[in-house]
Amino acid sequence: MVELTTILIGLVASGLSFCVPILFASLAETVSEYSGVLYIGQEGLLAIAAGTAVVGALYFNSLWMGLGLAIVVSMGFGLLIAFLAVNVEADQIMMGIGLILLGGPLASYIINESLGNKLIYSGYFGPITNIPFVGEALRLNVLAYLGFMMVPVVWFFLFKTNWGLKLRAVGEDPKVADGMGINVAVVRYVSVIIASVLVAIGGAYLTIGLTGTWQGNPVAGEGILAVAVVRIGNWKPQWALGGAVTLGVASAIGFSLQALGLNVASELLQSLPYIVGLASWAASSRFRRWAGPKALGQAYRRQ
Amino acid sequence: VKYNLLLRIFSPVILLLVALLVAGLVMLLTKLDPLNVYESIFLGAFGSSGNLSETLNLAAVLILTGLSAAIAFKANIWNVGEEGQLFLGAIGSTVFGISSFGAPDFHLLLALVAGFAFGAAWGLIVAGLKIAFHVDEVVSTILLNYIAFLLTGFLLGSVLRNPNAIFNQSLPVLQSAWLPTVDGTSLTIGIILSLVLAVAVYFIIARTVLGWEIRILGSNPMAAEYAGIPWKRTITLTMLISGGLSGLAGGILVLGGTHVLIAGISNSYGYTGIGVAALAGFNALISIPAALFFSALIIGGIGAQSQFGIPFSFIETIIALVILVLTARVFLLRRVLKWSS
Repeated sequence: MVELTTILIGLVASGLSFCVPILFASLAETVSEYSGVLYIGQEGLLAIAAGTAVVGALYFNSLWMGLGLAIVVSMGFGLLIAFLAVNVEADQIMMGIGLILLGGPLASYIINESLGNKLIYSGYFGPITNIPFVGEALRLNVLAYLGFMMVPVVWFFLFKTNWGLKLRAVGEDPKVADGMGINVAVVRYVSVIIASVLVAIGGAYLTIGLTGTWQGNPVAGEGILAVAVVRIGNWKPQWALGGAVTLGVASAIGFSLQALGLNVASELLQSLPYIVGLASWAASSRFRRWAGPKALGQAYRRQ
Repeated sequence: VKYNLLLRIFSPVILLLVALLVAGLVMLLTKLDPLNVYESIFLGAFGSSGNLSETLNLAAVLILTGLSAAIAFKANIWNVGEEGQLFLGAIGSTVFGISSFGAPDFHLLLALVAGFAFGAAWGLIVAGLKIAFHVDEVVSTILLNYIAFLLTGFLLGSVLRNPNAIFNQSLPVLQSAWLPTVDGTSLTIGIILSLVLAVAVYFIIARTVLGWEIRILGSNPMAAEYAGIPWKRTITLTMLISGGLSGLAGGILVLGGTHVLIAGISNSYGYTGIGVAALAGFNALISIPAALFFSALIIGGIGAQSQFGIPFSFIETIIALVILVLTARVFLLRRVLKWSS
């Protein structure tokens, strides 16, 4: 029995560790979608953040500077996305597809140009173990704890502050919000940039939070699973946490079973989070009504 | 009206030049002469008959993934799953290519149909999830892409594995299922197949009842509901054709190129199809020159890789950049029309 508890704790611990990028991406998607901007391109932005975090960490010899560089670069892309969505009134789905395709190759190119074929090892944020009871068992690092803390912060921001109210008003009906004197463009720019910062931390976690190295694009669906998590959880940050943890555990099950020496093909186990994501969307569709912003994906032009 | 038509044709070309200009600036930053690089890419794509054959062979694949994206986008179905559907098609053509089933005369046809069918089946999952459970297709197609890569890896490591090969690859496809080549060159008949299908898809969209339904669904889904369009059937048929075309692209890659299934069968050729469709404005016939452009960029880019040390990821970056820049197309058109009136 002791062994079973050890395995279960291990499963939860690695599940929580794997869920961090999905969690950050889900919170980002929530903030962005509430203002009416669809942000499916974060799958690509995660890769750019993961890559620039390694570059920054090696360049400045500091993990925090790596995180900083990832955040700055992501904010730049946030500006671009907001510009396309707000000013150019681009199709937000097509724009997202473009960014998804841009991310992986651009990140590889940046790594190639700045670090070449040298051994790329940046190191990573080690686990915080001096928290009583949980620290030693879960072995999560500072970025992971930051992610969990962001859940109530984002909830408070969206539902309890004046800014959050404005943001949601813009996503619900930009025309009415405009009439109330809210600057729709500014609110959308700010929400997309906040989302980009969250994505940056989630992306950086994949490299300087987990592996400490870049061996090709580490993003494998975290950004797009986050879009699913937000829909399934009806745009509620607390449900985003639940969804992200579920998918994190689904990713961890594969590793746990392999550690137990079970002879199941690794590819089948690796596809578990994708299947769980699709299945839970399908299963939840029957008893779920659209609670999302009404003007999602629509550009607003002043008459 | 004539002026508008001219604008419609030139707006994507202008935006394409913007994308190439941005890429050129990046080259300048890395101390490369963009004109030199672009010249080398052009020569690498069209400079010799061997290179031209390769460019046309790849164009055949990209026309198919481009048509796959175009027909779905036309119906407002955001199929981003061309890559996964392509892999399924490659699996299908391989499975039916490694044994001739006692009918060598029809073996090639059988293997091609299998490619189409496997891709179509993967596309139908998307349609089913969308119709029955309202699963957003952008999400389902990308997740299915990841599942398709893993499935390919699984099959290559188990049932399809060639025990005599060093690297993971499938058993070889029998010669009776190879795409024939034009005498003395490496050019396969894949390009002819693709051109015929481009005309066929154009005809379906422009002249058939299904095409009419696709266009209504694409222009206004609400109106489609009121007009009594059987949208469930339309979505199902569209995804069947869309997935099948990408599947066929995978089949051509195996039957006309590698003759075995490998995990690296596609260099994002499915994703590039989205770029083809975007550049062509979702028009089936314009997909042909658009596919030729991306094919030249990829084949020429592989040459530039060795000559200038440009990594392939840079070529992929340019392709994505083209898609991003093209989202400004409607905006550009509106601005110019406003300014000129």
